[in-house]
Amino acid sequence: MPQPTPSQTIGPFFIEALKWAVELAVTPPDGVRVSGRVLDRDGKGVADALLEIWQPSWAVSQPLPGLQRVATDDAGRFAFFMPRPDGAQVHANVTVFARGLLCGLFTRVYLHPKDDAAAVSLPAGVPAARRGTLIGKRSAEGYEWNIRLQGEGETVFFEI
Amino acid sequence: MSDPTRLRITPPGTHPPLLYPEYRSTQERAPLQPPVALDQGAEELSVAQFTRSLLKPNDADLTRQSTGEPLGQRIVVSGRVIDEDGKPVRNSLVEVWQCNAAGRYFHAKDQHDAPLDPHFFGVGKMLTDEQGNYRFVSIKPGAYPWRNHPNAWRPSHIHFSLFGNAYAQRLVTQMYFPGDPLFPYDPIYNSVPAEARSRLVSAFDLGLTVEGIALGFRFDLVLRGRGATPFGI
Repeated sequence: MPQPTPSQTIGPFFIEALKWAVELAVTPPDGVRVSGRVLDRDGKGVADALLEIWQPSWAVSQPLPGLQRVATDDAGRFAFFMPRPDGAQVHANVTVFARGLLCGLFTRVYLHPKDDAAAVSLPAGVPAARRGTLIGKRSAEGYEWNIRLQGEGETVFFEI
Repeated sequence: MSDPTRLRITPPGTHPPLLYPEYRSTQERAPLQPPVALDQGAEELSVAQFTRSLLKPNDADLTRQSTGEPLGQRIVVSGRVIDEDGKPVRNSLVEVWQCNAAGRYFHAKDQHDAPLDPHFFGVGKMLTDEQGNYRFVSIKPGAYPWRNHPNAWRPSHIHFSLFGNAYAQRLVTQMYFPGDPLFPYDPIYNSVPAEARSRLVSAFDLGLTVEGIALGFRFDLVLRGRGATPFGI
């Protein structure tokens, strides 16, 4: 049986190769902005992370249907779009790559129509104390959601 | 239990651990909590569709993306993308990037004191064909120093990004060149379990070598397969 190819880090110098897909992303008129930072153990912004947001049932008219790719800025800040949680919760699948990550990480962010974190239904197996790491909070300009790679409030990552 | 629709969990001994202290930046970036198992559903088993119209004419020839020829040893890199069951991964996006022959990336933050090549950007993309094959033309990348530890040098490598045919097959990795003397000293290469390291090393291939033009290297990639007995059962 063929043996799977091991993962390696994306390194710090990926953007020139991968930005074509970042530039294809459009601002969907019916979307809500989700912004935040990728943070390391010390709470420092991760300036060289790449996120891929996969929402196959939304934004099918974009050049890359369902996919958004965004890079963090010098402060580790990112922003992408999700459908507005009108009436029911929504979620996005998010893959995280960065220098210092030897494997890509899978996570999700959930938005609740009434911003009621306790009411969000999450995959079985997410420890109660860590639920908040997967839930966006309403902010002035949309929703805020941070990705903490390690340490206090470490984001839940999934094995799929 | 065998489930023909789900992707098998990759066996231990394949991927590096997230925390590999010799690669220093894992110390503050690697998650330390165990991952939570997530059932594979339609979202995990589907993937973004990339059409050929997204490709530009010279995306797979990194030596022809400027007004002149880059310096360095021309190479052809080709291989097959298959899954663990040996099935071809068809019409699937492969992105590549690398430094130039002198060991310098075309990137605003690469401060290595080696020359940029005005004719080399080191970026490419392509789709696999119906048999899972890909091929691109480039320049052999140089080795370059980095600050991980005293006198640290990365072996020559090309970065690969693959989407496969399912979200959960996504893979980012690096291809190395055979016989590189820097292997024993590189923590990124050595983060991979010993038995799996050779899977990241391309093979010189006279059949891929273009007479008078470019050396050929073969690099096959294997993504997660479906439907066989999951590991550990």
